[in-house]
Amino acid sequence: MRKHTGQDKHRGDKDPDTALVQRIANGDQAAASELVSRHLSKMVSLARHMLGDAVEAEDVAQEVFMKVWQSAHKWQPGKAKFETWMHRVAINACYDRLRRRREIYTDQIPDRVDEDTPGADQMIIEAELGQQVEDAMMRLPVRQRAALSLCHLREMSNKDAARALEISVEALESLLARGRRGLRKHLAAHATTMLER
Amino acid sequence: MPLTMTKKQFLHFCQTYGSALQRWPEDVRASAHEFMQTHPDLARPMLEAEKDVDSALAKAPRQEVRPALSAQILQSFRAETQSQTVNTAPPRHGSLFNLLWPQNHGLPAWGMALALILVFGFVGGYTGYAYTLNRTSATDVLSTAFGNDGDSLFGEENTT
Repeated sequence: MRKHTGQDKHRGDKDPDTALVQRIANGDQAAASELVSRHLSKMVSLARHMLGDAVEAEDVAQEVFMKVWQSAHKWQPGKAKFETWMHRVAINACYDRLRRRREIYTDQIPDRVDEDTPGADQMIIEAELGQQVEDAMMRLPVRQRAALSLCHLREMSNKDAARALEISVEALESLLARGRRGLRKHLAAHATTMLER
Repeated sequence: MPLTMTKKQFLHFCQTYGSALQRWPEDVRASAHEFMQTHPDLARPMLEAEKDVDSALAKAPRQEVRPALSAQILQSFRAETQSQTVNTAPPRHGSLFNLLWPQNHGLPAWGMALALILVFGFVGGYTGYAYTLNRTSATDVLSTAFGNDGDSLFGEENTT
């Protein structure tokens, strides 16, 4: 199977962002606002799952949109979906940050939870479970993490996710299967550790 | 994909996309449904085995977007648009006059013209006055003009 790249013709449904991008290229602020409300949370979530850091995730989202503002006038409709391109920019920004990152171990200080809030215990348990999942994901190789984030957390189609990662669908499926196996292994190891304490 | 999915294929999609069929590729869902109906005893355990990972992924933290972040990003759009406008705007006037006296900096063009007339008039008038004096050397004239009457600006030339 051939590799999907940005040069591929997108033969799916019409790209819903094309008109917005053209308006953005003409300096239309309402269009920029619409694009932000459509895609900002997706970019932040993807970066968060890839980097495991809320602040860096926001920085990546800002980088992505800055690139959008600078490149909107060069966008050629009919190639890959604009959203797919945005995901690719976000993934590359995450790769750059992961390359630069030095491991810094700090004590994890959980957010304060109001003791009087109804269901506070449940919130704490949910937060701890979420943290365990995030820790397990962060132990996966970055490409497996990206694939899981796009397909399972962002619910992107396999073809769009493959385009965003610039790989074939088969390669994407391999990353997904290995990612799921790795996640199960890390979560099981974590559960064993917790039981042994 | 043909409507006859094998056990091996079903397992592959289970282990790749998880237990929720809506996440499977659209073009295999019909055959997957058919496999589940014809082989429920095979399909059910395979789907059940993937539910732990699906459940874990559903608990992955979702990050809320701060309104301030949206505002910052839109601010960056305004800044970028303005900078592109400035960079692509044609130069208003390419003349030496505009280089010396850019517009929109406080004084109108007629003010500039009046100031230039005054300056050149003063310099020309004073120079003419200086040449009418009984001087033998241009150096003396210049020395006087610069307020150094009797002192040398150019070394030995003035001492002769």
